Formats: sequence, structure tokens, C-alpha cells
Amino acid sequence: MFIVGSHAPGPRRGNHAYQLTFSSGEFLALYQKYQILVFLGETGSGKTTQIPQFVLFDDLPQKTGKMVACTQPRRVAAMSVAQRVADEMDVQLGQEVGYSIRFEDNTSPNTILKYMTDGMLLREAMNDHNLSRYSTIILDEAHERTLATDILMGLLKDVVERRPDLKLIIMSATLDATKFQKYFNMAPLLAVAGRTYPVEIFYTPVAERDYLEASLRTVLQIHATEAEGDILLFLTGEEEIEDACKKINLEAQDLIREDAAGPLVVYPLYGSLPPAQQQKIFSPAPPPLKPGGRPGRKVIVSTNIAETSLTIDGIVYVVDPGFSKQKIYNPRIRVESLLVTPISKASAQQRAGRAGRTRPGKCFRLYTEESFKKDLIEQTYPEVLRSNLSSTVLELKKLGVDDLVHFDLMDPPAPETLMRALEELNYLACLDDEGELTALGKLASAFPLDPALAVMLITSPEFYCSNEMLTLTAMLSVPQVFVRPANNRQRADEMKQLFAHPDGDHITMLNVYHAFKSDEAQENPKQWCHDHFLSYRALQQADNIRMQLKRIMEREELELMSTPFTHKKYYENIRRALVAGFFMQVARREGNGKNYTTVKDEQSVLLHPSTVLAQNDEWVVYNEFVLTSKNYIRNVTSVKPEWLLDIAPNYYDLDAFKEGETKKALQRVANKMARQTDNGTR
Amino acid sequence: MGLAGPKNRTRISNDPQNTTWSNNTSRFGHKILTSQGWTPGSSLGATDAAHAAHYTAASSSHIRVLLKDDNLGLGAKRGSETAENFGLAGLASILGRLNGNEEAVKKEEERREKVEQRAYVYRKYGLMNFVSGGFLVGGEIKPKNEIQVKKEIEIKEEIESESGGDEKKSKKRKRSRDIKEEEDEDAQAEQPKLKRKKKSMNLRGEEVDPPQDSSSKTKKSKKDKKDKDKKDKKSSKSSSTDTPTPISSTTTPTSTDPLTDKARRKAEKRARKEEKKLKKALKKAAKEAAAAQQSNPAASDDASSESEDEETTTTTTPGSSVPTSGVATPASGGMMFGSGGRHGVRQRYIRQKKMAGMDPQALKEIFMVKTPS
Repeated sequence: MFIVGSHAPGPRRGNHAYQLTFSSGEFLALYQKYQILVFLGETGSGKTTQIPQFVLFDDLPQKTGKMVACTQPRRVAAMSVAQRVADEMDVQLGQEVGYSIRFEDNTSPNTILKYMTDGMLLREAMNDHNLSRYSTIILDEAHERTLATDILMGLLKDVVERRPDLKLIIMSATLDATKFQKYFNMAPLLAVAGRTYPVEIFYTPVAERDYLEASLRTVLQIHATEAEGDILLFLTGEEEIEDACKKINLEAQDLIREDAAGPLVVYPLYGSLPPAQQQKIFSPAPPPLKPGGRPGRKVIVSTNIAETSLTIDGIVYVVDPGFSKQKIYNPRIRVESLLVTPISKASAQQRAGRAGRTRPGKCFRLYTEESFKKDLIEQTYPEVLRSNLSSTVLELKKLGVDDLVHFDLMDPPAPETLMRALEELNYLACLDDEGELTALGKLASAFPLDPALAVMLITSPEFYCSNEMLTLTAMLSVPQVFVRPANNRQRADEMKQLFAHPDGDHITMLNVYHAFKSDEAQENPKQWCHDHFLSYRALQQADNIRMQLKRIMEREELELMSTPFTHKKYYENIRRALVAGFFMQVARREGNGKNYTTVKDEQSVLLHPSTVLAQNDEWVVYNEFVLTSKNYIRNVTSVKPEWLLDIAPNYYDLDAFKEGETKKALQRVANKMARQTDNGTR
Repeated sequence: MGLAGPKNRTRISNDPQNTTWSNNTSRFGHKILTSQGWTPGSSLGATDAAHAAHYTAASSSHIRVLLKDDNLGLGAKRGSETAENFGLAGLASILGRLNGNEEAVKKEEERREKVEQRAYVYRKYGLMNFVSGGFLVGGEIKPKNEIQVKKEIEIKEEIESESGGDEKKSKKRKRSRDIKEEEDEDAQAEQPKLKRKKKSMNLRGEEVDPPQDSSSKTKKSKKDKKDKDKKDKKSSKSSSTDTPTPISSTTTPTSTDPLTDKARRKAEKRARKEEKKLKKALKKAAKEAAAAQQSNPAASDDASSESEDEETTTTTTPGSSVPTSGVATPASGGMMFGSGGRHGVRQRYIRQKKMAGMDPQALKEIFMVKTPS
């Protein structure tokens, strides 16, 4: 999870409020007149903190016992903005102004302004279809088009028709304005200018052969030849960024030694970076080596998290190779790819805009102007077009949206993606054959989890291991717990072997959690994690999520139990429970090779190199199927084919199987099982 | 990558698009969708949505991805590098000569040589070239002339100053031309004669072949230029706007061979002619560059105009068989980053020494050999 928000506390920010670039009068006139308002303003125009306050003082929601809600795509933003607004209004955070994010609710009955993640508002809508607690709803950062914001917009379009007293404000950066306006039935549009300076755009005259090298050259060239000002370089991933930082550092030292340039510091910035290191990007550029010498400069090498909502003061030069890593889901083979792809035009403009925050800047694009016009798509694909929608469909069903085909989304997903989601939910028995929500489906929607995980958790009491599955679910909901630093890979792998279990990665994760909770580790958990190459942050988060999920389990009256550790079926039960949720994510080994084939979709895959599993189990269940450099299945555990037939007879209905090796193998198992039961009855 | 590129073996499934699934219309998902009024081929979403015109292709079918396993820049195509030529360029020039296009081939070869020599200079840091694409003001790109008056004036000034520089340059050129004028006139007048003489000279089998001599001279002058460029760059890469100035006027005859007066003069003339040609080409390139980037003074802030010239000349001749020059980063540039910083310095030092060793003039200076002038 990304920690540095747009409103990260920094010495520069202090307590001074943003000076608004627009008057409240114009805004309030429109606000009073119309039910829906589209408000366009650049980041930094102060809209996130000011507009909700205007609304508050005009609307006075406390009179009717209602609230104003303002959604944010990121948790940290919701928290820090709430804090700032509470300060500005001189109230205590959690009283009149509060926030609500997943697993944390800092509000009180007095709260009249509530900052929350868009996902939280969506969850609230599941229990209160009309969102009757709110008098005004503000959707902030709508241009980011997160899945939750998109769904909320579709829902609220309906809600405002049912509730004429509800007001809706969509706040967005100046992207795609007409689309927003058209979508909201030509709602009035109020645009305010951001306080940005012009940015001069430069293109390369010809295409670059190696964008990585070109970007390093450009950074060094800027450092050697351009006036004072910090540099922001956009690259695609952690590895690439760390590598680039190293190389820039080396070459910069060279430059400095030859007295060709001032001092240079390089900071990486990506999501999985620890928060303390993320904060470093806000430190000022180094001073000149000697008084009156050439000025120092800082370079930030970042993924596209620095593209939106993150303001780093002092950036004057932006280097944009035109790529980013994107997650894209393919419903046909159910693979999620995480690949380097060209960015969109809108994204490129956003990147360039980062250079004009403090003074006129320059943006160096490492592609030709022709490429910009021809090779880049207009807008980045919103999340709803790039994701597996099974949990969204479950949510929509719970929200009372039955006609999924005509649900009015700003960008409707591909029909095949919706079909896949429906089918997955049907196999999980969350939807019946008519497409109606089942009792299990209703229960599953109570968990803020992927449906497969939710179902696994709900059915785990049947396998006498709900405590373990609770832990496992929490561990699967956090980012990678195993740390593998580039300079110490071998040692990290050795440490991982300490926890490894021959049955696979899921049980290895359980071992990690149990070891983390042991007395020995809890004495000094931070040090322990460091010694064992584990992410303390991720484990802590997992612990937190486990607690929240436990609360939901208790609320839903699901029994919490464990098979005694000494029992010989301890591990078998866990693996069986795993199959109950992930029977659609099973692969079978092809002959004696390294290749596996996914069941039904018949895609050739490899076990991810990070697995602890020896490569000789015929049947494995996997947590995810990703395409990075190859088709990989990640987090795998070996299972027995008998369990598949036994636990998920619907999915493993052999009559519906395509002819092939998998079917033959399953048929053999089925015959054997039939013989055994015959023998048993006789 | 061609034959020498990395080989990545990937296994492709029997049905990589899973058409078995997508063509099956009896599936649960298909059934539900059709029952809700969806017809195959149409996209989802509200009927007659006002914003339907903004739907992208991703609303009708999933987004297709491409596995990118190289560092090729945006818009760059595989195989656009010269490395793949396998000496075909040389073959082309031979064939060209056989076909009687000696002039064109020679020109092309010279150009290529020049480009390569320049590239050598940039190998150190491989100057990045950029062309201005206007200003981003509030989310929209505006061409320069639309930016406020103040900015415009600034730009104009810059342009003026640049053009001023051009004037100076042309003046310089004029001056040098004046010096040469007399001789040139002579040369023009005597050209037919000279040709004849040359023939006879060859027949006589004189020990020094004049064309060779001239070529060595130009090479030398080029080397000088290179050195100069290097120095320019070293001096903190200040925006050096001077195009190569004629150096020939200062060159002293390097060959110690006793030449006949005639032969020497002839050689000199040849050299001069050669240089004139070169200058003309450069001038032309500069003009082209100026035409291409008329309202673009800012680019010269970070790229010395000379390199710009090179870039534009190469980009304006895309049909040429030398695509190396068409790529902004020089081919062998990778080594800079490959070797560590300290090694980089050392390599450079060694390179400089080697170059000094190859240059006869420099060698003479080092060994303090006196040359009869």
C-alpha cells in the first residue's frame, strides 16, 4: 500500500491553509441551484479541504441530523485531509470532522463531515441503498477512476433520482471534463485554474532505442546543463528504479569529481518502499559543495505513484519515458498481467504538469511528438476495464442492482469480463442458477474480500480449521511478506527455508505468521522480522486484518476452531479448506516436465520461482495466475485430485470437461474412488 | 533483435485465447447476460447513454496486452539499428560504384564517416537531443506563439541572438573565404590543366599520391575538430553554438616527404575544396535544422547546435541506409553505464592517450621532433 499521500505531513506544509484560487460565491450559487455539480480543479487548488467546508457551512447538515461525506481513493489521504480540515476548523479529529477507512472508523455521533475511502462508502451503500445518512456526497479525485468510484458514480446517479434532497459533487482534475459532464446528464461544470506554471515540453527528434539508458542520460544532462531545480524521472518498477538510482549515483559522482556539476542525491519512490524511506523524497536538495559553488539537486525516480495527487515541491524537470506498469485482467484465460505498457496522453500531460508546481518547468519526453500523437491512447483505462469483477458483481448484487447488463457505468466493462465474474460466483454458489444472490453469497458479501477467499473462510468450519484459514486469508490480503533485497538474496532465501513446508506456500505463510506471533518474536518483532527477512509492516497489517475479519466472523456467527496441531489431519484439513475456495484455480503437471496446465482453461503455466514447492506434485492449487515475464502461478500448494472431485463436484463435472489429459487423469481418479466406495459398501 | 539477440523461449498453450470458453454460448454467464437483454457483439451499459461516444474498445472486448521484454523506447521499432546490417552497407557502396554512381556513393560514405566520428564524441555521455513541443498550460499543450507576450519576447530575443551568431559565423566564413579567394580563383582557372597534370603525374609514378595526402589532411582536421568538441564539452557543457570553424588555415603541412612544390599546392587546394564541400554540407544542414525548428531556440540550451545539425540531417534523410544515426543514443553508449564510474574515467584516459599516439602531429610534439616547415 502506498503511504505518502498528497497531503503528507512535511515541514513545508505547516498549518497554513491553501489559498483558494476561486471564490466561494460562484461555487455556492451553483451548488444551491443544482443537484449534481462537476467541479474541475487541479491538485493544489485546495478543493479537497475547502469545498467540503463551504458545503458544510451552507448546508448545515446537523440541522437535519445528516452528514457530508467526501471520498478519497486512498486511505492515507482520507486520514491526513481529515486531520488538516479538523485543524482548520479548530475541532478535534473524530468529533465534528472524522474519517472512516477500512478497518478504522474515527467518527462520533457529532460528526458532520466525514472523509472516507470510496470503498467504505460503497460498503455503507450495501446496507443503506439510499445513503440516507448523508445530505451531500462529494466524490473527490474522480479522474483517478478507481473501481469503487466508478461503481459509486453509477449508483449515485440512481440515488439522486430517488432522493431529491441529496446533493452530489464530483471533483476531478481537469481531465476528460466533457465525458464527466455528459455522464451526469449535462450537469453544470465549474472549473477553476490550478496554480500551475507553464511547462515546456521537449520531445526527442527520433525514437529512443533504449528508454532506460536514454532516461539516465537525460537526467545527467539536465544535472550538468540546466539551471537549479529538482528532477522527477518516471520508470516502471521497483527493480528498474533501484537499478537506475544506482547508476545515476555512480555517474553523478563522476560528474562531481570532474567538477562538471553540483552535488546530486537520488531517491527511489515506489509502493512497496517502507514509509520512512518514502518520506525521504521530501527532504530538500543538497547544498552546493562549497559556498557559491554549483547548486545541488535531488532526483526522484518514481513509478507512476508520483503522477497523481502527490506533490513534491521543487520539481522543475520531469523526464518521461512514456511507460508504466499496468495490471490488466484477461477474462478468457483468467490471467492478470502486470506488464510494461505505454502510458496514455492524459497520463503524459499529468506527468508533465508535475514540473510546473513551483515555477515554470520543463518536461523531457523520451519519444517523438509523432509517437505522442500516434502511439498513446487518449485516457488510461479505468480500473473497471482492467480488473476481475467477481467481487464487484457480488457487491452490485448486494446493492440491489439486478440488471447488470444495463447498469450505467461511465465505462462499461467487456461482456466477457462480466460473464466470467458471474460464472465464478455461480460455481462458488454465491449466485444460484437464475443469477440471484444465495445465502452464501449474502454472507460472502459481508467480507471485504475476494469471493473465493470469503467462501473459503465461510466454509472453513466444515474442515475444522477456521482459525488457520482466518490467518491465511489475512496473509493473502497483504503485500508480499518475504523481503528479498537484491544484495542479499541468498541469505533471504535461506531464511525463507526456515519456514518452508513441503506441502506448499500457503502453509509456509501460516508458519511465518505463527512464528511471528511466538513469544520469542514478539519480544522485539521489528528486529525479528529484520533478521528473518520478513516485512514487519506487512505482518503487522496481516495481524490487523486478521483481527477485523475475526470480528466479522463472530458477528456472522461462524465458529472459530482448529484441528489439534498433533492430529495427523492438521495439514490435510487446511489444504482441503483451501480447495473449497480455490477449486477453480488448479493446475496439473504435464508429464514429468516443469510445465503445468490450468484446469478447464488449459493454459500452460510455470510455478513461480518463489515457491517452496518441489516441482513434482501433480495437482496444485494456486492463489493467483499472473503474466509477468512468463505465465506464472503464484502461491501454490499441492492437493489431491480426490478432494477436487469430492469438494467441488459441480466444477469437476466430468461430463462437461473438454477431452484431454486433464479429463483422463480425473476420470482415472473418479473410477478409483467409485471402486473404493463400492468396496466400502460391500 | 536479430540473430544475436537474446532467445526467449515461451510455451504457447494449445488454445491461448481460450476460444473453447469464449465460443461456448451455453455457459451460465452467457445465459444470464442474454436473459437481461444483451446481444452478442454489443457492449454493456445503459441504453442510449449520452456518454456512449466516449466508450473505448475496451468496453467491447478485454484489453490486449503485449509482453515487452526489452528496453526499446516508445515508438522505436525492432531491427531499426545498424547492428543488423552485417556489412551490407559496404556491399551497397561497392554496387553503387559499379553502377557508376561514384559521386553519390562517395558523398554517402563521407557523410557516414562524419556521423561516426561525431558519434564518437557523444559516446562519453551521448548528448540527448530534444525538440520543443510547446508549453503545457493547464492541461493543454499550446504552441509557443500562444504563450503570453512576455515569454514571446524572451524567445524572440533568443532567436535574435542566435541569428546574430549566425551572422558572425558567416562573417568568419567570409573572412576565410577572402583569404582563400585568390588561390581558389587560380584553381578554378587551372582546373582543366590540373586534371591533365594529375594524369601525367600518375603516369610518372611520383611517390606521393596527392588525393591520399589530402584525405589524410581532412582526417586530421576532423580529429582536431573532435578534440575541440571534447574540450567544449568538458568546459561544463556550455551551450557551444559554434559550428565547426575552418581549421585548415592553420594547418601546417604534416608530411615530411620532400614534395614538389606543385604537388603540394595541388594537395592543398584539394584539401581546401574538400573542406568547402564539408562546410557547405554543414551549412545546408544548419539551414534545414533552422527550418525544421524555426521556433525552437530552447532546444539549443541543452544540445549544442552542432549535434542538432547532425540529428536533423540524419532525420531528414530517412531513406538512407544508415539508420544508426537515426537513433538518438549512440549504439555503443551502453558501455558507459556498464562500466563503473572509476573505470569509465580510466577508459577515457586510455582512449585519450591512444588518440594522441595515433596523431602524428601530436607524437612529434611529444617527442619534440622538429619539422622542416
